Amino acid sequence: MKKLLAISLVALVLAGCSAATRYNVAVNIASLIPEAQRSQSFGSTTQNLVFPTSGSGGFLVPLPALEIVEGGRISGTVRLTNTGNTNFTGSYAVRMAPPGDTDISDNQGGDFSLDATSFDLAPGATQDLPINIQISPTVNANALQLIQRQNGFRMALRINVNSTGGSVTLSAARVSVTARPFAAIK
Amino acid sequence: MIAGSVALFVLSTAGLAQGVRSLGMGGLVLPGPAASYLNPAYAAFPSLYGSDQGLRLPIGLLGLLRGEANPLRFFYDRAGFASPNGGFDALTFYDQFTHLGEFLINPASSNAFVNPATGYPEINLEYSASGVQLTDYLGRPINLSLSLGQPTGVRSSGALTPAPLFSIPFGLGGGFYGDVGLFAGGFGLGVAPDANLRRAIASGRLDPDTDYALTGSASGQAGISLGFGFATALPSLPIPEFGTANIYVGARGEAFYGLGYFEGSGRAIFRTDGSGLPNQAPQFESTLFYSYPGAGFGFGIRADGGVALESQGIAAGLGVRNLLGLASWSGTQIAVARDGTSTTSSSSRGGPVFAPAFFLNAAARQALEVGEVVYGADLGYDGRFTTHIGGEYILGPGRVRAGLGWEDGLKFGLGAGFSGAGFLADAALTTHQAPIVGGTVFGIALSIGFSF
Repeated sequence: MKKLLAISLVALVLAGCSAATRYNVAVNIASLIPEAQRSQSFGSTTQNLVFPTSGSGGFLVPLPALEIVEGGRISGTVRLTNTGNTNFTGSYAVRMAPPGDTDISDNQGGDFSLDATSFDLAPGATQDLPINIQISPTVNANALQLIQRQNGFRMALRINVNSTGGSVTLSAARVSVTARPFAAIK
Repeated sequence: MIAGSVALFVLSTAGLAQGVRSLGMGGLVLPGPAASYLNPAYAAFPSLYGSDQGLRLPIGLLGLLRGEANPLRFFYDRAGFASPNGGFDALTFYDQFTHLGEFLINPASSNAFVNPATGYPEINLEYSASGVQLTDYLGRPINLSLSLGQPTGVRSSGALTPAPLFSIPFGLGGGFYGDVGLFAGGFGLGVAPDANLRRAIASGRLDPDTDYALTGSASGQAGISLGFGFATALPSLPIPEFGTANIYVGARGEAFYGLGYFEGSGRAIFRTDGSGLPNQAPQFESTLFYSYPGAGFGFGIRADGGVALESQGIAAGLGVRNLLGLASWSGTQIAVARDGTSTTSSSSRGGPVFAPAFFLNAAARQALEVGEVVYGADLGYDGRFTTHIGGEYILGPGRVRAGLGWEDGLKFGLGAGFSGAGFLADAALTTHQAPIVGGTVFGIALSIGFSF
């Protein structure tokens, strides 16, 4: 009875739903991370920085497991500023992990990297680097499987920094997935 | 029980009780014996303005043969049913299913949400620190409140049962009459956000550790009614410089025996965590009350009254139903709590003794140089206001009609009819507001009749 009523209610809510309807569910991650954990300044250093800076587990994106997810997109912007006297070089990548993995950048427990990109900034320069990662059954399929099969997933931005002084700010970050409820009918 | 409920639902939603002639006039109900359910004085009133005589055909069944409105494809063409191209559309099905008395020309469709950039309907849900937004592809908020049908449960309407699907009158002589009818209706479905969710949608903000709920409710009732009434013409009243007015009064008592009653409600609850994120699975709680012979008992009695005047082809009447009433349904209540525990108990439902419904209408008949015209207006209140204005032009056996009305939204009607010897046919173009997506849906209704 409970199941029947629940299904009826959901059917009513989805009354505007056809076999073609897609639900786009988006989470504005940057808005959910305190500003202090999205930004870091440093002196002369060579190290890996992980954002948010609150720990090594990244940010837990609260999306329930949905077999009906067809694809998605991770987008954002990283602002780099070089206050040192040499070129600021390195690379950045989005990391993803299952919800139970507490270290998102050790390549253990299921975490993995998406779309590593290198950069090179002249002294005094400021640059906004884009993050634009497509997720589909053919592109970054491991990310799609993670979203489809886990109740929530972890995300972080890892930056390999080689600098004599500067700062990194994750100024925008958003994950969106597209689901088609009728895909559950087989 | 479920099969019975579905059959009654179909009967009532088919709207077969409302005639095609009336639909062609925007839903107008003219004074006359056919309206004696709304005003008992009309039982003694002459049939000055004609009446709906044909049998309305359930041509909406044809509309259910459309691929996107046909749920039976799930059983014989599951791939096609779930296909993103030409698959099932729940909204189209719902709209046509609840209007079985009409073939809908442009039934409501989720195509209203199609994003031209992607080619498919899209609904967007966005979480951010400032809250949650449910929008279409253009960022316009989607209205989570929707209601369909007119729920009239015993708790609000008391003994005022829905209009009969059909009623068989029999004269008892001396102005007395009786009638036996079957009613099924009061069907309503509603979905509405609770106060918290409404506030969150308005402000775009979710608070931590708070419940947000979407409530769905449904109701319906059916039974057999037995009416006993008296209507008579009072002595004519002279009106200076106008003529004489004929006055009619009537009273009617009705008792019903319940065949079925249900009231259900369900809540889907989303709880936010300490940071204001709805990151837990939704929980459900629900209540269902039902009663039918063998598993409960329903009965009621009520009193109606009315008065009508007629002079020089002009008539007006006021009817009040449920001046006093008493109704009770006893049955079973099933409550399912959030944790999934289910409690079944005996329960009953009753309503207010005084819950009157009013119906005022007026009409005139006028001969023209060629043909003649009947026109009128009505105003009703039975928990909601309804009003209609319309008319009919009569030329020989031909009829042309038009009208406007308000029934939870603007509607209009256009109609045509043929009333020949032994045969009559009526057609109407009618409208209603599309559920959820809004906009006007056009439907065609037909009725035919034979007289010997």
